[in-house]
Amino acid sequence: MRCARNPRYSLRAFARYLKLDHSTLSQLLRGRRRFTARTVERIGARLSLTPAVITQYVELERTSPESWAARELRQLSRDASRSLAEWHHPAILELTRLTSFRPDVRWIARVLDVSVDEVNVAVTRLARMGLLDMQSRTTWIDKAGNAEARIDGESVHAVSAFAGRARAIAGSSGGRPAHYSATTVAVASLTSQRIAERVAQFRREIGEMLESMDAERDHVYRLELAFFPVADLTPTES
Amino acid sequence: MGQPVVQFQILARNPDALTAFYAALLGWRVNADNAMGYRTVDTGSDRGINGGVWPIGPTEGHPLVQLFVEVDDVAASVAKVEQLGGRIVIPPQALPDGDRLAIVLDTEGLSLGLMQRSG
Repeated sequence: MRCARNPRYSLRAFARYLKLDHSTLSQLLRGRRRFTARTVERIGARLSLTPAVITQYVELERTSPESWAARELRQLSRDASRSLAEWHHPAILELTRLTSFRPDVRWIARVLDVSVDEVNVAVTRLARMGLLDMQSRTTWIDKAGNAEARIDGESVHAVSAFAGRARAIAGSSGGRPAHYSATTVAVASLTSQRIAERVAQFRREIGEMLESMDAERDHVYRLELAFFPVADLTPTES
Repeated sequence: MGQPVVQFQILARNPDALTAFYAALLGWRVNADNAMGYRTVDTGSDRGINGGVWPIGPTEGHPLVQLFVEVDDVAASVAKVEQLGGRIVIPPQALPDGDRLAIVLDTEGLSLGLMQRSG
């Protein structure tokens, strides 16, 4: 299976994640607009850069018209955008947690059913972002930990890619336990926040349960939890 | 001993088309039968250096040629990079063949590979 690409969608979702206007982000990524100190600070915070690093970027951007800071921030932004949008990036990180993991790109490509080049591009991005550490010839470390990848409710692109992957392997899953259900319900606005909090709490509990278990990990599963409005009921002017 | 340039690397959006181009033009031989699926390039000569081709994504920078320099201690070399005004792009990583590699930018912003051979 190949992950269908829609850069425009990814850009819009990533702009929302960064809390930037999408046309502003587009101009920044194309180098047609300079990063202001405020923009650097905002992007840096959303990309979880440390305050010291953000300050360094701000200073570099202030002192040099064509600084590396801008170029590096653009590259980091692109890396983050692709990593959030393309399902095989987190899948590669999760594979490293398996006892059966092989630090062999050909093996990774085979088990994920993507090309060797796609794995190598992803591995480069993940290493550049500090999310993957190829520590030794036999050990790769997922440095992202159990961090929650979230784009403010906009991950339909990645979710649909995962669902396609799940369908593709369903015939050969050998009866491994799996559960999938979805429902669409009407809710009172007042309760939607409570439900969202319960969903987030449930995800944290599953993560904590996994971290507390000593058993060797020998497979990769995808747990999807989504709760989002599907109807735009904003009153319109007549 | 020194710290010599040991390899060139081409970053390519379409590695297969690129290697086919150089095979047809110069007779360079490409072999990707290794754990990284890395396209090694053999120029077929005892002179000069051999190279490799690495894929880049559609949104990443632009195709370019990098030089790889063999260093005695890649961690020590990387530690010096920022002191000297360069930048670290990818910190030292252990490749499946045991070599260690870091990618840095020099003071002109040019990308450079620092490689420490295993054993």
